[in-house]
Amino acid sequence: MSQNGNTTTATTANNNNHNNLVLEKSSNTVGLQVDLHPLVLINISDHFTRAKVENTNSVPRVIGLISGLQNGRVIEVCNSFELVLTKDGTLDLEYLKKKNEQFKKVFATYDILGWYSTGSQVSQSDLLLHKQIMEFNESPLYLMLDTNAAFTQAYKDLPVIVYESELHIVNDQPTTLFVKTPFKIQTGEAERIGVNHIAKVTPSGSEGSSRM
Amino acid sequence: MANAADALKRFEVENNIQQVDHDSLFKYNEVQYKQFLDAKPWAKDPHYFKHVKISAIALLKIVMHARSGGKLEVMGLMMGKIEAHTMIIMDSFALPVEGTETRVNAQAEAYEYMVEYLDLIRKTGRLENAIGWYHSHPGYGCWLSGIDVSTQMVNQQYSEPWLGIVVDPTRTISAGKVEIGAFRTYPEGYKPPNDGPSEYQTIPMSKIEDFGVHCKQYYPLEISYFKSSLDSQLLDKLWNKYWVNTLSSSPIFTNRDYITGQIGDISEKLEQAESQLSNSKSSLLLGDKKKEESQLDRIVKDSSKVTIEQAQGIMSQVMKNLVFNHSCKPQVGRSYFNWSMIDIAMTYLCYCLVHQGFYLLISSEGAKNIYS
Repeated sequence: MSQNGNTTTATTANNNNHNNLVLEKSSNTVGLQVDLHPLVLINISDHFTRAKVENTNSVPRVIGLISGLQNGRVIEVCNSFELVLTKDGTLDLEYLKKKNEQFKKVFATYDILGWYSTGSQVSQSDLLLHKQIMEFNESPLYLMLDTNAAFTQAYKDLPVIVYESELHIVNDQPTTLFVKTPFKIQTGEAERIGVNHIAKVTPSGSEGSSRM
Repeated sequence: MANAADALKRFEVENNIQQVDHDSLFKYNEVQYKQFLDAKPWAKDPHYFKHVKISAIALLKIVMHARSGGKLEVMGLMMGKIEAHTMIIMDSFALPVEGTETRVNAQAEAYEYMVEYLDLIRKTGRLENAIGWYHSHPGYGCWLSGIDVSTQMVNQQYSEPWLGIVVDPTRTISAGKVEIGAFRTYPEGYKPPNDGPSEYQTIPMSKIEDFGVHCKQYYPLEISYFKSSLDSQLLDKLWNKYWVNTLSSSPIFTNRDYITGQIGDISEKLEQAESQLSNSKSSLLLGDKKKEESQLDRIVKDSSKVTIEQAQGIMSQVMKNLVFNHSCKPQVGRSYFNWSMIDIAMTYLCYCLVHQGFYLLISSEGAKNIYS
């Protein structure tokens, strides 16, 4: 884990022209409808927390795959799993394929929808990863969870941005840009009850109830 | 808001709860785990493990997987670690096996998948081991059946430490809270020392025998939950986007089949109790009387549970109807009008609840009186 953390934090450091990569609003009037399940957020949160405790001296960045159902322009992001990077910072595709095969055995109806990472800014290296994911979904989503914003009390909204990629002509060059896409939270009945259940658990309270 | 913070603080002080860096729970300590494996404290004390801590993500995954199976039983494995007297479930994953009581045949297939899964997950830097299994009992409660007991026993022999978790997705929906149980079996031939009454739960007719025969072969562990600091922050923020879903859901609609089934089950149990009671009356077996009474008591408990869940469902529907569907006249003190209507609704519903409860009590008391 620490190895992944190191390689990715190194690559995010040299990003300062993120504005060139991101488009605030799509020129396309018929937008995507993205439904996001809380399970995905808690899954990413868990992934990040584990990376954080293993890797105490820097804030790690974690990367994973999001999967779910796609029906035309309606996309339901239902689940996710972790991804592994190779030494040169690209996705370990062999791992991805194997993992996806396993995932398909239990969630047969889910397809690869895109990927997630933690952080606050889109970087050039994100584009490379995004292009790798295109092998599995020609128009993947990119979900970004800003873990720092999550701890900011003033920030009331979910610190999540969903990007879609679009091909634009910039300076006569075809360029892939990330376009922000609105999303809404969608839950199943069991998921809702589960989320309410864990929402009530205070971190300290759980420690208390385990006292002998 | 300030009140809530105060209350929490007071609660923590009163209960001697210490604020600790709970995220450290997410760190895996291999040395410690190895030490436990070598020491095997559970081999000496069949009741060694008393507590289970389940992570937010593990709980969510288990509950959702169980629900996705619908009326079929599904199963999966849990990964985690151990502390003194406590098993900690960090994560879980589904196994590609489903169906009722066919699990014994499915074991080989599940095992193959498990080995592959654990092998692959090592690549992500996860070091935890599989420390238990979960499966669902859709609609018939959290306990271990005969097959479950033997599966659990075998695993406790060969892959200790091992935990069995059962979740009931159907009752989770109808009760609006997660119905889950964590169990470990006793070694064969072991007699549990104290026979304290376990918490009562409704078991359907068709399963009562299976439950009764094996219920002394295992014991439940106390379950608590934990989440990371990031989980807490996200869940807080999630609520802002989320409360509409909670408000718009209704257990009455999502669980119609289950409720009907429950009522059918109660009527079957009543018939059985009736025939048994008339038999025992004719043979005048006084020793059996106490047992028969408790049988009726159980039926009363079952039926009041169904009634209460129904009444709760109806109550929330009525409230929502009043709050959202009522056209208010803007000039006439609007809030006053709404609240008085809610008061009326509440009074009416309380009346219904009490009335139904009484009816059940009277009928069962009546039945008891007739036969005693």
